[in-house]
Amino acid sequence: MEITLRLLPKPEAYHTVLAAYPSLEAAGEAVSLIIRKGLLPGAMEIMDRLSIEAAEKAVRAGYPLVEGLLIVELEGPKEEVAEEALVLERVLRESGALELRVARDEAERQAIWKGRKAAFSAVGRLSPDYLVQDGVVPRSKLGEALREIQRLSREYGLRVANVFHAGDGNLHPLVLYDGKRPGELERAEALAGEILKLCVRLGGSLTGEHGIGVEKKGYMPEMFAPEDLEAMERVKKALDPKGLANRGKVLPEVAHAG
Amino acid sequence: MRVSARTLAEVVEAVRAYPRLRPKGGGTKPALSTPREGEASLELMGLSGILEYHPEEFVLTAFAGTPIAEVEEALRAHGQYLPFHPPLKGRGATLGGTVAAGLSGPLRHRYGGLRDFLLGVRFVDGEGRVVRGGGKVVKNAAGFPFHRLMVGSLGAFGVMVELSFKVFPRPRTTRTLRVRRENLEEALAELERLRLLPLDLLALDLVPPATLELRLGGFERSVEARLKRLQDLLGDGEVLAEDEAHWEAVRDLGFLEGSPIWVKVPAKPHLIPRLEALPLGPRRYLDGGEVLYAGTTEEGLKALRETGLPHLVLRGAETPLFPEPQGAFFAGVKKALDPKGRFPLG
Repeated sequence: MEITLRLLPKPEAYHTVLAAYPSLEAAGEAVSLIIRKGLLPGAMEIMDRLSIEAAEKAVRAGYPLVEGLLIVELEGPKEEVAEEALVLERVLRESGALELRVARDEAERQAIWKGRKAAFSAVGRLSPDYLVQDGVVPRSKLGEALREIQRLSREYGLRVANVFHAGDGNLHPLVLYDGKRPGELERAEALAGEILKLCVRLGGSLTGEHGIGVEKKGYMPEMFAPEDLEAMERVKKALDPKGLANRGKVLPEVAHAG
Repeated sequence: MRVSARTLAEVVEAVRAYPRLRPKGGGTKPALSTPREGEASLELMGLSGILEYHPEEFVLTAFAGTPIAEVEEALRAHGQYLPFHPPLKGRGATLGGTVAAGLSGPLRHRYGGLRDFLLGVRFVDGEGRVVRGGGKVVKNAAGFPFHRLMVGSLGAFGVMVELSFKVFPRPRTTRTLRVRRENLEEALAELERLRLLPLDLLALDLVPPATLELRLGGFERSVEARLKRLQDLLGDGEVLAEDEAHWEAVRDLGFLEGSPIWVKVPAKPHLIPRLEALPLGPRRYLDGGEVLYAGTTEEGLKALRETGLPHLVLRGAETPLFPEPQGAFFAGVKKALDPKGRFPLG
């Protein structure tokens, strides 16, 4: 009926940097270095080679074709951003980046973001169909998660493009497939499911920001114990006794048994 | 009647053994933790200790009875803090009591309050069942967020056993500017102006009738430059010598000392003139006027109740929550998690 939001003034200044790395691990390690320095960037985004290629095909963002691309954005009062930028630059120089680009104005900032923002839809240039996943791992497990995703990708014979919010361990693997080939959708779904289970196994979550829904509810028992799901079920029943509100979108069927 | 629990199993046992229970942590908010007629006091100070803390993950998990002071000491060793600034730390407040009361301190102005930093909970519901909600990662949208339900619940839905919080790097340097205006009206106009500027203040408090306190944090050089900019903007102001000690006293609600009744009122700048017309005692508006902590007497509390404005009494009243919880949502959740009315607000 009514939603109340807390609004904030727009940040006074931004500092946006693009750093290119020879491997995804190196990009991930750079994120850890930034965090260890006590910085709290507004955004830290990583793209892998496949998503860089897709973004280049779609919007020609001018990204270097490397294995791992990191975008870091600082925001805040101009004096604070200037100090943080000095620390960030030092960290990135020591992080083994092949190339660093600092946005000097708003147009250059937009240019850095252009490819990242287009990445999801751009993957449509590489494959007729794809599944977008959303899972979370503890930040220190990012490297392990990405290695395991690459292994699963080989095992299932399907390409996986990775775009993620590295600052909070939120992965967005895109599973590429061709729905016209018999069995490929099912294989893609199974692979996406393996990735979700991996996230939970590493101490993370089935979803960082997009919620559960019909595709993921079956994996809820991976993350929650039967008692947790039964409690959710009881609350749902108490608040929505006729089951009218978006039924069957969050809680798995197995919980109903309890 | 008193029963104490030091482990999850002991909490479960206590919940099954007593028909009416009221959890108690450090006892810093007696209006919430003092057992009523027929209730057993479930003492949880022994359910204490940090369970998991990986500074690089920005996540800390601890037993609910852990004192805030212990948590902050562990965080400080790694240059981190709880940005929602839990009040009453110096008086022995615990994580669980802070969550149950839903309290945040002056520094909530910068990054948000308790609700934004609580990531997960493990609790024992009214039937003695152990339930987990949320998780231990900084971003998570899976399942019903039971942890959010615990914020300000006054213990109505269950006994919290474990809590996970998001933490942040601590500002390297802090400075505080105090400015005085002629009267409340001018101070409110200044407050409104400051709220709309992208200053990233750590705290913005109004001390009635007409004093504003602004706290800045960050790199030393930047803080000095921003302080100068603020002074130019506001036309001077006094820089506090004892920055840290001052704010520690504020978060411990030292200014309420001596008042028989302590009350927290969710405010808004436009409500401040109305609140200022009431016979309240020492007080301070936090977070740019979003929340009021006031000391008062029976007379002041009565006047506040007559305005109809919602509030929470921390000390000095039999009925802490006004208005009492109502509506289908509370009743439904209560029925699902505490059907026998074992916990407060039954």
